Amino acid sequence: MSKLVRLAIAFVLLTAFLPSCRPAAALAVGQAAPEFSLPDVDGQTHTLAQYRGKVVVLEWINPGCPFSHRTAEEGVMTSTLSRHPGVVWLGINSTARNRADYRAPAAFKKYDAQYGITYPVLYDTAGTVGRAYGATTTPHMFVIDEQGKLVYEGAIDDDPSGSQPKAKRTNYVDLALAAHAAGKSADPAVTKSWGCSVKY
Amino acid sequence: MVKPRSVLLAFALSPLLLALAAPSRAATSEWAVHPQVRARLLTARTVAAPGENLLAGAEFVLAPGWHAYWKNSGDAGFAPRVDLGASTGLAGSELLWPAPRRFQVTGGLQAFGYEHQVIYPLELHPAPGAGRLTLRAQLDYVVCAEECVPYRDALELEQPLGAPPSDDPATQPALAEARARVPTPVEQAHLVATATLTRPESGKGELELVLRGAQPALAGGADLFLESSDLFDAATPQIDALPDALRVRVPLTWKRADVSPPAVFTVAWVATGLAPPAPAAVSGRTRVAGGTAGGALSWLFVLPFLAVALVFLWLLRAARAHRTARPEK
Repeated sequence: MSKLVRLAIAFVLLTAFLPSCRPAAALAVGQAAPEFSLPDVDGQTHTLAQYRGKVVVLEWINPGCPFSHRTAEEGVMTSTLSRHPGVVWLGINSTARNRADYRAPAAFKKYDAQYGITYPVLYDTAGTVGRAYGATTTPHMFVIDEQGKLVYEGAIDDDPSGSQPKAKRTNYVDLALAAHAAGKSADPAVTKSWGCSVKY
Repeated sequence: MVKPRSVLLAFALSPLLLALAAPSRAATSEWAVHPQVRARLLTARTVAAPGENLLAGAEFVLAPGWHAYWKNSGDAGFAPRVDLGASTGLAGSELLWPAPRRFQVTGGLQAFGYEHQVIYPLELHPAPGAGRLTLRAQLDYVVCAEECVPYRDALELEQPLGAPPSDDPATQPALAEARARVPTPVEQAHLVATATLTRPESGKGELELVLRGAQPALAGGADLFLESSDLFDAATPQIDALPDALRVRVPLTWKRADVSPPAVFTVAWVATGLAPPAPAAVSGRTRVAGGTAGGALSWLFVLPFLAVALVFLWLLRAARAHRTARPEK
């Protein structure tokens, strides 16, 4: 029996006893947000480090997902950003190239123009940044403070189906940004995100 | 191969055919019909006694491959909402959650819910002295296959009141079955649940829930679902059948690094796939008291791997000894 075969058997035996786990989310509020370097729809690179000193909001986005699409149609994200002018807002598209929802940068630019999305949308087609943050849904929101620490993670608001008028919804990102500006902790700092699964 | 579109079309048309085949006077609303799902309200009575509590439900029939969701939807979707606020003659209601299943979502994600068909039971409390009961429900829900489609349906059902009350043979058995799929509270199931927590420094912990008196109905068939929590994110549980108990170990990741986890907290859980005499699904809210300082205990997790490695080394030595005794030609 060759050494290779023996090693292969050992590997199979060992992995058979490993529980087939979905890894639990990797990021907690208060921890340093993982660094990234991703291209936007124009091919320009954005890093988290370049925005140190500013509050950064990350929005996992997929125009093919009805939840992402509704928030774009209603201007939920752009209006939230407009209420917090000093904030850097980045969309992150973790849709893999082989998924039906994948949209090439040129098509995404058209979508941005159609729905007035002026903030950069970054391409994470390998899904490494999405997984590092534990992003599970579109939309899934992360608010990062000036020092690069996560201060809020979860849903944009409390109305997954968009059945309430905007004035009656609780916009958690709005609350987190306002709390942070006032020198307070976000409350809630964690909510359950809703939407489509990220198409890794 | 049948095209998915024609399957969806046949699915969407089937309630029309059913309606033609058997026009019913049953205690049901009209179906709200969509390509992937149809939804309706139903009650167990053709005639309900005024003022008596009434079993009702929101029924969803799903096209093949599509899912509806549990109260913790997992990594996708959201829990359905049933708003009966616009009803007449209704004092209160309670939405119940049948035991869910676990679905793998492409990309290594998981969701919790139902496939094919599900009735979410509703316990209705009619207003005392109300002469009529008109249910007006707004259903907010999402169904997902690879993609997700959210829907909002407004449904109405006029419930006849009077005496004597009578069950509706077209709906009562299905509603009773749906009610039976709602997990039994652990105390009523005569099982005892205890939960402990190891809390290593790394921000990860492990919840160990022991359900004394429970066994899996089939080997590997038991599962455990935690309601969503702001405190932690839960990974896939590992479940072991002990001689007199079911032991569930759930890796947790704390969602807050800026505040210490509370010394005492409660986990809400549902265990499914249990063997008789226990109910098939049991629910509980169990207090988890202060974690052990995980450092020492976390070494125990290495033991199974160490054991496997030792057995392997032993086998290797045995094989070598065997070969030495009888050399290969």
